[in-house]
Amino acid sequence: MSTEEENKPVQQYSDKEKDAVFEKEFFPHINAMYNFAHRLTFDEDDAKDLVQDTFMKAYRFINSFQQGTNAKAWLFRILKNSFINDFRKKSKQPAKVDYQEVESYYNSEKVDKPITSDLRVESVQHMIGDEISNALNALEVDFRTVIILCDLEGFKYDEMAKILDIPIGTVRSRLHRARNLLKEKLRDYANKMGYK
Amino acid sequence: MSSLFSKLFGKMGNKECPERDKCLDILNMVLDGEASEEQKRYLNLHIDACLPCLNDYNLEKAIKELLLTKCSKIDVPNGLAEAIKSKLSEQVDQS
Repeated sequence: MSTEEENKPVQQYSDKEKDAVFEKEFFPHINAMYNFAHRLTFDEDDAKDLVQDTFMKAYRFINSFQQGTNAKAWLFRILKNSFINDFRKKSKQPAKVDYQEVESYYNSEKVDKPITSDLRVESVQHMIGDEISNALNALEVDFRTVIILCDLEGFKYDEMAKILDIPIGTVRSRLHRARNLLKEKLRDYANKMGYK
Repeated sequence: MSSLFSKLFGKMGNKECPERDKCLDILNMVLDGEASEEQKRYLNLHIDACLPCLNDYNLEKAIKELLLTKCSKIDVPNGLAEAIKSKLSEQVDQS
């Protein structure tokens, strides 16, 4: 959570109510949060820290959580911000490229062109978990993130827009590019395995 | 009628769909559960006749299913939830 507006209290909770919100609305998402954190950091300890930081921030800023709204999206947003603001900075592997740079690079024609012609449905269906997981993990973090949120976690575009602080149009175009890049990687795997 | 038909389906037998970008956009929205009824109808009609877009649809669908089923979920490490809960209760005590 970064700006004042985001942390503006919308609801006051008593200690008892806080406990109830954590127990009923926040903790049930710990599994999904840990998996998201692990796919961002690729490291068990880092993922644990990230999830713990997220819960601590959720506690500090709980008054900006409106009960009855989407707790999972709210928590994912904190987690993603923690990753960007705190974690990436102190990470052993700092982000190598600036996202703007990446986005403008991938804005080039090449990536926007459908590239499915030599990737067949059958090849994809023959793939085992490792290949798809490796292909996903090989994507630059911002592209990886939209696929995780949409395809693994089932968030809607408007929820993703809130989690990522970007307009819905950008969610869609980023998703489009991410999927093209993923297909490119899958096609490479398919070629390597001689599926074609 | 024929112009409407070609507008909807492109030229039959063509390897390329003239509206492929638009179709890709719509079929992703359909698969993501974000399409309007009108977009769903358009896609259903379209892929009945347009082979390249039917292939695209099947490919995107297969990849989406593969992601969901084959990207294995990792179990939360033992003790993490408990550790967080005890840290949280320290915060309560301090406040």
